Amino acid sequence: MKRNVALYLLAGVGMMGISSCTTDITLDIPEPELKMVVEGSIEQGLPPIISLTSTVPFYGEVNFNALDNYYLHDADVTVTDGEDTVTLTEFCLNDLPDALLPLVAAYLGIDLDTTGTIPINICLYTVPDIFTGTPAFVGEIGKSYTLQINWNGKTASSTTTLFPPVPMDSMYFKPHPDPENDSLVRLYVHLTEPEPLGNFYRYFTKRNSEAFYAGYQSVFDDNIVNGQSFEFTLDRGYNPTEDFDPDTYGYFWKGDTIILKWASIDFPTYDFFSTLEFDSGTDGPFSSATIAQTNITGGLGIWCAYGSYYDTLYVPY
Amino acid sequence: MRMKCCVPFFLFCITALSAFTQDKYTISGYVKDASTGENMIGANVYLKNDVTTGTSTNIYGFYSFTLPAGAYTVVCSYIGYTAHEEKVDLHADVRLNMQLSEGEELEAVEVTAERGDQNVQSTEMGTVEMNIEQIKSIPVLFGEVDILKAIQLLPGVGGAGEGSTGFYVRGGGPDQNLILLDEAVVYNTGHLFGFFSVFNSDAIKNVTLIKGGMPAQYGGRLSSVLDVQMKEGNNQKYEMEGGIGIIASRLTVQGPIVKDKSSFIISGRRTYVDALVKPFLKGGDFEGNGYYFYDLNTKANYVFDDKNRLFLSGYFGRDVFNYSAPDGSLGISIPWGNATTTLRWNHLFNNKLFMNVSAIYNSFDFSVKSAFEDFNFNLYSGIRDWNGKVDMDYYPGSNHKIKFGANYVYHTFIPYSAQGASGDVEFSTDTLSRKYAHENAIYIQDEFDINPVLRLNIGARASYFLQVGPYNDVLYNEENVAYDTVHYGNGDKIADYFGMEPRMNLRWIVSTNSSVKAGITYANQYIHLVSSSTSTLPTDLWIPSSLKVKPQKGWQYSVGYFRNFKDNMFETSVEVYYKQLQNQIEFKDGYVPEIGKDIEESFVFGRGRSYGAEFFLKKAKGKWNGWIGYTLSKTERQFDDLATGDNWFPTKYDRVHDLEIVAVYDLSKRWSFASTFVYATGQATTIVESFYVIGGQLQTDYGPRNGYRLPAYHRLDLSATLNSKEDKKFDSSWNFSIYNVYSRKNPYFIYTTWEGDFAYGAVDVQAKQVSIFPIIPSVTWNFKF
Repeated sequence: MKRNVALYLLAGVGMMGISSCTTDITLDIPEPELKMVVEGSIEQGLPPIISLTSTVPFYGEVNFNALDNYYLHDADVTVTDGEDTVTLTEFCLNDLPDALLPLVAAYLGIDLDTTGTIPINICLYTVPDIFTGTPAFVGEIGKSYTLQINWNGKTASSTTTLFPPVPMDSMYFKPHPDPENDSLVRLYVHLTEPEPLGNFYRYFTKRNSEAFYAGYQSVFDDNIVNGQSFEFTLDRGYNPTEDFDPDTYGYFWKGDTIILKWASIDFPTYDFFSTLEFDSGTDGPFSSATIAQTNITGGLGIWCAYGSYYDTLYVPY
Repeated sequence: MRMKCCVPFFLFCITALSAFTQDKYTISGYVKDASTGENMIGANVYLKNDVTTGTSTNIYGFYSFTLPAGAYTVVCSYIGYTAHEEKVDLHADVRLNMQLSEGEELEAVEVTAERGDQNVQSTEMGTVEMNIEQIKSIPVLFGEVDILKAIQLLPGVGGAGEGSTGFYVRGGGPDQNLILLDEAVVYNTGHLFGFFSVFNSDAIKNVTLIKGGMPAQYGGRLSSVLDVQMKEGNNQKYEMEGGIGIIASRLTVQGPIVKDKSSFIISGRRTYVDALVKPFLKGGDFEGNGYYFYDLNTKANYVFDDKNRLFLSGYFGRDVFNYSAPDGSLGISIPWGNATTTLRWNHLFNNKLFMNVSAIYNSFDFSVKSAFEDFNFNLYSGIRDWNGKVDMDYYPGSNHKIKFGANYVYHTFIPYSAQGASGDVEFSTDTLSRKYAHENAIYIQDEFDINPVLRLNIGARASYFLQVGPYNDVLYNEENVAYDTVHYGNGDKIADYFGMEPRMNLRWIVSTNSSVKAGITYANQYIHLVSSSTSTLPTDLWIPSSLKVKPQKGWQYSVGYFRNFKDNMFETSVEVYYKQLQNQIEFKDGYVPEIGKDIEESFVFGRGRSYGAEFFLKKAKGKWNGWIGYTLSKTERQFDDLATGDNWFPTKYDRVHDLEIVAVYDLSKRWSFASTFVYATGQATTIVESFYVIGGQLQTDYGPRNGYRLPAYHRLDLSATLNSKEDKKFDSSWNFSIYNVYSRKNPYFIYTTWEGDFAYGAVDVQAKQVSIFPIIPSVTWNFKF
């Protein structure tokens, strides 16, 4: 995001008739130590799901073709709510029946390719009884969940709390301000934000059969809206694999069925995503590097609980 | 402990005051430029047969020194001017106003009895005075003469980046420079994101940079003082001067209101690129964009009588950026800029006591006004000061000056106050975020000769800072949640700090053309700049010391050896310094701006140190002149609350090697040529060291803070000036400049980018370097009549 600001400012400079020039360079940096990366969540009524990878060193030019190599296999992963503890099992897509792929794709936020398969072999840790449909260990509102990982002698841990969902008063759409773009609509919601101060939220939207995508800026706090009842707009969730189109960014289309996931989160989750989304990978003259604030001790990434409220809206033609 | 320091100091003063006896008399007066009537700052006044006895004029052109009765020849000199001699039979106090005429520069070498060794004789260290004519001879970017870029060519002064007016002095941050325009603080010195400075060179008379050994009259900043004086206006005849450049034009009008008594100057500058490029933007990505900046400097003065003079000066400058989407859905207007007003009264109580009283108002404002559909959003930030000052110059004897005074400033800080409205719902953070503070200081400094070889400049500044209400201090718990608010009413004390700041410089004359100097300075800085950038940005924010933000404090120790050769044709010096800084500010790791939350919550505090050696060789006279400066230095910080912990890390202001070469060749009366070369170690920066994946997207993991060096910065500039044939009525000149002659791709910043689709397994990552200014020729036409 900040890089965009910097480049925009440079564009302003360019207006002054100054041409800027960008060249590819090779950075001379020592090989960094690899770190464990956790991406895990739990939601009310759903089991914990964790992806465990390592960082990918960046020296000069790097190709990610061999991404499979960065999954960490055979780790000991447990989740406990203080009373019950579950040991998670590793599943890799290559080992799963095809019938489960759409479910998994939707969960991971990736789309199936034209052949109905997921093109890379993603591996996940989750409860062993995930495919029964009624797993025993699922998220419950008000509980705290501690994640513990042992891999190759390294450990990582984190704790998160599942807060109650906060419902929207209503959800509706408004047409695009420019009549020429009359196929586009913008999503609006009305929220009565509950007291006291200190609620944090993350949202996702799902369009028709697509996966749930988080917004480009997906987290909010209630610092200036605490206890108020107000209307605001939400950008369409952002598919990271799709090319950015400034004309349609944030808008939905007439004919869409929109599902909103509005989740209560804890502060460390808010802190992680707000710093992650603010960061851009530059340390330029107009910005400084923002380090994503992980809640994982001994690694990077996030372990979070979603107290989710879902709502659906159909946009007629 | 503090009292013990002060007692001998005041004893010195008393002894000094009682030292003169009845058969001594005072020579005092003003030194002016004969053709314009402008006061001359820092002109030397001394005895012809004893050049070490004398003084120099203050910033109002006044001098005074006291001698035993007798017959003397007094000489007054100033670089580039013909020295003036006056015979004085001293049997009573004498008022001797002198006028200097611009000399034939090529013959300046021939002027005899000139005391050209001010650099050796004075107690000042790390102090450079730059004449505006000298600055105008240096090659420039886009034809715009810029004093802030010129001072970056001095040793110990680092540039903030390509084409930037931001500067770092001896490892200090940009907020540690006190930048004064006619005594008014200029808080934001950059136009267009810092590529151009707010100082219009046509309106400027004199520029003084103090890098170390800051005299007690200046306070409130740790690193340096840049004291800029505006011209007063010609009180002899009307003059119009101006210039047409490739991005901006300038026009200055000056003249007498009442000849010899009163004059005025008005100087303006505006860019016009917006008008030129508008047709080319139509239909493109940047349609609807507009940008321009302008400056206006005005000054007037009135001489009531020999003892009373009044000056009124003002500066007003604005940058304006506009955007309106062609379809009308989005409109943004972003104006920002500084304004200053200074009213000064000079009063001469007697031949030895000069007083200046100043009343100053200055402000910097930044605002964003945007409208998107039915949502309106305004953001506003700024700082405003009301400032009152009294400064007294007392001249008890020859080679003896005492300065004392008091200063009071009332600050209003407006950090990012936001107002928004969406339909019927409105919000405003304005009342929450404003802050108010009183800053007070008194100072005294005494400069005198202990014996013929030792001269001491000793002083102290006592400062007191008080943050007052109204203010709501919101208390946050670890989860970033406000759990309580402490309300402070109008004028209630929130936090206060007191500082005693000793200053001392000692000069020891080793031989007739060499000296050793040593200095110790302690300073407090009560207001701080908040910026996540390295350049001057309009979003830079000033905040006061408060309960959470403690004043920055700094010691500086320096020692230097100064020696001149060949009848002062060559000036050389070596200075070494060590600085210790406390309560330095950085953003915490993982800082994200949050509207509605006090920015103080985003800081961590630590310490800094900086040390280095500066080598300077200057050829002051002759057809060939210029200088070479080289600095070897190190600047580091240590913050307990950053990921770096106990480790010291280099700051962005760290330049290990810094070399500048400036060469000027005056070929004839019509042609002169100049060239500059700069080399600096690359800036320390934080870079991406590895990647990881969250949410199906690549994320970046950084290496150690400022752990990587950008490639070194170097650049050669050339210029040539062609003056018109001599004409009494109309003078003009062409300036041709080439910036970055060999088109070095200097790094402006680096970033990483990736292409491809992560979910499908193939992503190419590439580091990229952005360079902004390749070779840039420019031409400017200047005129004067």
